[in-house]
Amino acid sequence: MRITRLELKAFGRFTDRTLHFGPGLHIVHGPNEAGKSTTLRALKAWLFGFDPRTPDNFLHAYDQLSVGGCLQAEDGRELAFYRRKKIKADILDPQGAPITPETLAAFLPITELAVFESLYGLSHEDLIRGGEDILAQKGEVGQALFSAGAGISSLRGVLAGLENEAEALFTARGTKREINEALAAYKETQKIVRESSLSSRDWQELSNRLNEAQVALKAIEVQHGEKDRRRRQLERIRQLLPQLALRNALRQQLAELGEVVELPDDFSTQRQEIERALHTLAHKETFVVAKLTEMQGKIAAVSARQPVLEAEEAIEELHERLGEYKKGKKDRPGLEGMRISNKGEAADFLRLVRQDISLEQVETLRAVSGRRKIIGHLAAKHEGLQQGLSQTKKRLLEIGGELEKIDRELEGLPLAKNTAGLSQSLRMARKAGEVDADLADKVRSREEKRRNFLQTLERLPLWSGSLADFLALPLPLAETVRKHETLFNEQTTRQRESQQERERLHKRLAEVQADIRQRETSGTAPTEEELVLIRSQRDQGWELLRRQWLNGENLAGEDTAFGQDLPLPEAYEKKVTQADTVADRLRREADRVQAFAALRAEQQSLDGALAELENKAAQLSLAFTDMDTQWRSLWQPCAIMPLSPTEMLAWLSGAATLRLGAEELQSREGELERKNSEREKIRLALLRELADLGEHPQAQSKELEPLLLQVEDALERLTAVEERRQKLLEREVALKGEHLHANNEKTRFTEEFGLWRQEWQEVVGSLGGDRQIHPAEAEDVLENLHNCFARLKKADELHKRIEGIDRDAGRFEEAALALAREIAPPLMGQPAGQIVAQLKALLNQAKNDRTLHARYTQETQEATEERLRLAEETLLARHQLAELCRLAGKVLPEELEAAEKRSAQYRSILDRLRQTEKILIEGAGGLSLADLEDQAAKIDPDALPEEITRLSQEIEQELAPEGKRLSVLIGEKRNQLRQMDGNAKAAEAAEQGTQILAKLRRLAERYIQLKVAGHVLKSEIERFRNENQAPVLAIASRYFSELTQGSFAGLLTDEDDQSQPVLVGTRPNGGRVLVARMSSGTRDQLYLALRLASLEWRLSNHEPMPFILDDILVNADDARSQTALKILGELAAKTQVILFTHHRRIVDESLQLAPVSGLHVHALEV
Amino acid sequence: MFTFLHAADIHLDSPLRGLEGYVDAPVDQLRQATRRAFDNLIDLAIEEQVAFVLLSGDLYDGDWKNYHTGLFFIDRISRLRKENIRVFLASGNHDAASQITKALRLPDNVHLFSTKQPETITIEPLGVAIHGQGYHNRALVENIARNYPQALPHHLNIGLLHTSLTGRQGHEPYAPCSLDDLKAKGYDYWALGHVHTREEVSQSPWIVFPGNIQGRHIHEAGAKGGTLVRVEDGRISAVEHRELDVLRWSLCQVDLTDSTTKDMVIDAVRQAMEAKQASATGRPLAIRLQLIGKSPIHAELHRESVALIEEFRALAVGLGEIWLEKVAFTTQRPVALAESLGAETPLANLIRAIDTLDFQPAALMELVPEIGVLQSKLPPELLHEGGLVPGDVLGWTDGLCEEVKEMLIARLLGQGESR
Repeated sequence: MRITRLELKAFGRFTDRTLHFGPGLHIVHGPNEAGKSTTLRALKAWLFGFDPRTPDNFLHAYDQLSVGGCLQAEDGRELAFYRRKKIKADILDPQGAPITPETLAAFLPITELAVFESLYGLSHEDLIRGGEDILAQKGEVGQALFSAGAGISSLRGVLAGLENEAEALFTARGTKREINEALAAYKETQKIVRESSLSSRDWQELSNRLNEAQVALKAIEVQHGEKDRRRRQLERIRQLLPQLALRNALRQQLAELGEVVELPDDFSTQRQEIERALHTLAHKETFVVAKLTEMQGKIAAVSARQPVLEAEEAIEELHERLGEYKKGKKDRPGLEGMRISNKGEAADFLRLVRQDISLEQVETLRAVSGRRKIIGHLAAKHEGLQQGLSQTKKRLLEIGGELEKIDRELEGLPLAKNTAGLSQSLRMARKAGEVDADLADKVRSREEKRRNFLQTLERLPLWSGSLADFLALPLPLAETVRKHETLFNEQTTRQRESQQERERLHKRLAEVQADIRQRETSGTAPTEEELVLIRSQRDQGWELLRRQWLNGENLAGEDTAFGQDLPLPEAYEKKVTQADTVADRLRREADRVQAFAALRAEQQSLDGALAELENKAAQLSLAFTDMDTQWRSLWQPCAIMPLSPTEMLAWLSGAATLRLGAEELQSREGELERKNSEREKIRLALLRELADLGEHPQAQSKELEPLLLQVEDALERLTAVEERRQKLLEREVALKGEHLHANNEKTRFTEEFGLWRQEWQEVVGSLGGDRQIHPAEAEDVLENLHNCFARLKKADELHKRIEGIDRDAGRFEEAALALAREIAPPLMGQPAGQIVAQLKALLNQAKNDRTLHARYTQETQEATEERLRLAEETLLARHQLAELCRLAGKVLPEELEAAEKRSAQYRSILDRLRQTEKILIEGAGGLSLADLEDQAAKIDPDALPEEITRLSQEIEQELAPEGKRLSVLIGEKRNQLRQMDGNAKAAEAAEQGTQILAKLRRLAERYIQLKVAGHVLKSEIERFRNENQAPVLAIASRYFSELTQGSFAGLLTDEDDQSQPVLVGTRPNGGRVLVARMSSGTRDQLYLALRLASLEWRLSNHEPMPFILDDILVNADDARSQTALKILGELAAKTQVILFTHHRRIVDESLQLAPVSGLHVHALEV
Repeated sequence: MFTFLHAADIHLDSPLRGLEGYVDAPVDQLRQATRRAFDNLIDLAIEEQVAFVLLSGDLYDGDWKNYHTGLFFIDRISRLRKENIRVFLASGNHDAASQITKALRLPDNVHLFSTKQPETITIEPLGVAIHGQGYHNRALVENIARNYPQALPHHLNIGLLHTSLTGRQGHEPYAPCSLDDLKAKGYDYWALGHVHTREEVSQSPWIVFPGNIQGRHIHEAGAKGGTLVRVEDGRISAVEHRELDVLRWSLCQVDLTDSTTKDMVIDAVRQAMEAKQASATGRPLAIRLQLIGKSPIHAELHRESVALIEEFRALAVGLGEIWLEKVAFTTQRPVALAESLGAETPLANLIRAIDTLDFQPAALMELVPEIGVLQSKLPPELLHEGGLVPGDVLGWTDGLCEEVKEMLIARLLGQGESR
């Protein structure tokens, strides 16, 4: 594959810059670093894609960057493509369609830039590093070959890196390595897990120990309890012994006292109270008897007036009625006067109503008086009806008047007309817009355009005529003209080239001729022909001599012909000398001869070439004339004398613009006409409508506006009349409806009035007798009648009261006389009021006597009752005393006191006995008295203290310490168990352990990766050496010798002191030089030799790839860089080589290497 | 109406695996995770006033001998005792192996089912019959479900069993039985244990693996907890999953197909982590970050993996309560390595050599004896996790092969990058 073209379409500071490549060695020279590096970056971006962070976007934005070019495969296939800065589909064909990576891969099988660079790229830095690396690996053959073969310049570093990283992770005996440290840390966590773990057995054992201790403690406690109880029992008995003795003594005393009647505690108090009560009762009885005697005397002294007391009720009643009786006597005359006055007033009221009937007949009118409300109602109704009727009549009159007025106005209005057509036409006209102004505008603009256009047409060169002629011109097509232009251009170019070539040849010929002349003046140079001629003459002389000498032949004048004026031998010798001289000169002046010959040859060839050129020029001239004729004939039909095609192209474009203008003008004319006819149509329509309505147009111009104004006026007028008519008709209809309604109302009111009259007669008729009562006076009549009835009722009531007073007075006088006759006859003959007052005084006297008698009787009775009660109480007390005697054992009352004393003594002894027993029971600790006595009886009181001391000692010195010890033990065990609390110490340590395991795993994996990688790489290097050592070294050896200008004869493999195969350089004298002894420049050359050799070896069985070099000759001296260039030139015969440089010197040197075939220099001028 | 709580596979004091400590990692949030999750279970039981708690086996970790763990269990169960909550326990394979189980004296509110034959306990006031059998040794391979009694009439029947049914990936095939075996018993609820992923195997009848209550490594990701069952009128009316875990494991995949710069990568990772955090309902997270996709930045990721891990950890610290368990660099090159290196180049040959290398542990150890030396020093616990023990190399070969390739290519071409 090779690159045939690189296009920097938009990249860095380049826009559309193209570099053409082909086979051979290409030197791309940039005037400064940026130009060269940018181009190199562009090349990489094109082939392998853009670096995401490429700095080449300062002129073209990222999305505009574009690099393209063309690749050519060995079989001649080509692929042109462009690269854009995108993630996907970044490869495009020239038409912009995406290309698959596979298509590219068919030309460029490597897609990784780094790989391509390592194989087919070489920079100055690579060289330096490669040289250093060879030194670092001490010329180890495998590494050196692999480095050069894979284009990796620091293989040594990679190998060491793998090794060192692995070492840093782990060594078998290391401690500070990461894995070793992690292992130690893991062991530590495992230890913590073990130590913090609690085994089930430990726990159970501890649990068992605790149980045992608890059981033992329980046993000790039981024993302790028993002994303690025994000790306390003995202690108790020792304390209770005196009480036991006391008990026995008291029981003895009781027995001695014998049978005793035990008396209640309050016995003595009772007895003394009874005796005191008996004494008090006797004293009270004496006092009551005296009182009874006194009362009997007082009762006899008070007598009674019985008849008066018996009539008490009658007297009291009469006395009460006395006031009333007196008042009746006083009121009667006033009441009689009032009765007479009321009756007179009633007669007066009646007269106001009717004079024809008396007061006695007035009852006939009572019924009418009762219907007062109905009468009021009817009166009110009468008023309403009358009012309604009169209003209705008035309204009817008003409506009639108004209707008349409307009729008059309607008759006065003009006839109705239909304006719809006119208003529609008007709307249409208005819709057409400002027609007049628009038209005027258009005319004006058209005129202006026309003027302009005609002026432009006049200015058109090469042709003049009318507009129509212009439009009819058969102008040739622009394409045709362009074709002619191309032809002209080509022809011109050809002529120019021919001219230039001629000048060049002439110049060269002049130079050559001058050179020849110069050389000729410096003496004729011997020629080959001369030598051949003289030699043939010499040989001829020799032939003659032979014939003369050896054959003895007679030469017969040939010798004289040959020798001219010399004898044959001399002549021959002279010829020999001449031939030698010529040969010598030829040899001596070979350069001159050759140059001279070359110059002559060149002169001849130049002459030939010139002749040919002249011939060609004549042909070209003829062709040109033909072409011109054709060109002119193209324009014949237009009667135009054409200028050059280029100018005519411009002219054509001007003409085309003019034609466009003409067309536009025409279209404007058409539009104007259309508008005019539209306006006329509207105008006619309006006029027609106006005529239909009988209106007469005022103006007859073409313009629309005056007509429109008139139409609008007419429309407004007609519309106003029509609206008025409509309003009047509506009003008429409304009024007629109202009139009908009013008539109906009037009828209704009249009917209701008739009904009312009938009703009124029925209700009020009887009241007036033969006179009609008017509704307005009805109320007054009824009021008077009502007053008459009220006065009559009052007079009647007064009459009844007077009759009552007379009846009561009669009855009172009769009763007073009867009572006096019965109980106090002396009073008879006095007026009734006086009789009653005196009877009342008698009654009060009798009542006083009766009260005193009753009080004395009461006191006598109370005293008698008191005497009876005292007798009963005395009897009760005597019975109680007898009961006490019975309790005390049937003794006499006098013996009671002695019995009381014995009982008290008995009781005292018994109390003490009980007290003693209580103390015993309390102290016996639950034992019954009998058991206590029993136990006490069994114990020897004298041995008691000793026994107690012994028990105390056993408890305090043996049992208690043992119990305490067990308790402490239990406490300890419990505490230990409490610490076994389910804590998470071990679990947490295990957690930490797994974290370390995770780390270990990661590190171990890393270690294995590093180790395997190192191993694989080493064995691959070895394999590579085995396969490639012989051929590559052979080539490299040659290159190395050349590159070092023969300072080294070649390369060899040798073994170092560790029997490792290493590279050594050999001197021409056979000496061997280790890489360590070489200068750094030489080592660079060594690396370059290896790289070139690897590449050449690779080319022997791989498709060639362009070899891209970046300024690799910067540091080489002139001689070495010339050699290197020469080698590159040779390499370029096998594969394309592109050397990027920014050093002018390299370019100059390469130009001096004229023999290098296919050398191309590309200058990246800006 | 009453409720009961069903949980299994508590694995008390079993440590969280795969978490490597680093500066600022949320160590405290992860301490004693299984214990705190168990505390959550106890709290839930009390809060919900459940009638009883079912624990379907694997209370402990088999080879964990610390009796403190048992004592912790007793302490927490005593809390339930105070609340009159009974506990029914059927031992699993781990419990059978555990020494703690044998020695522990359980409080009287706990019933431990016999390991010899199925046993039935009835709770008459609730009308409940619970059937169960525990493991008598660590590898129970008989179908013990078949011996369970038929459902007790007029009772809500519950079966307790530690089983893998017909087999579940990643779990030993213990107490094998089929779904039909279980359904045939006519129970209302099968409280299963052993499988660490929650699974409602059936809803009629209910056959439920509640999963474990706390995830312990990345293969136990997602929400973990117990199953709360509500019973109304002698019928199961609701089965609810309740989260009990105190720390959530989460596999966080980030697709870097379109990422071209490191900043974009970090941005994508932050967004992914934030999303995971939002779904963890406030719990601390242990995240495994897996970078995937054919990414243009693949090579750079490998070259700068160490620095990137530091950056991701800093991200996790910044977000708070996230432990970055591991960063798996599993992106791919946009173009496969073998294709991008060209044919027959020295590097392509190197890659081919790696591809043809025998990565069997035995072969590797023969090739690189240092690996054997390292292996002999590593603790056996680590080796059992898989990777280095001969024959136990799941996923190890491919990973190593790719890692070695990337490492070598990065280093060999890396120096070219600096040009």
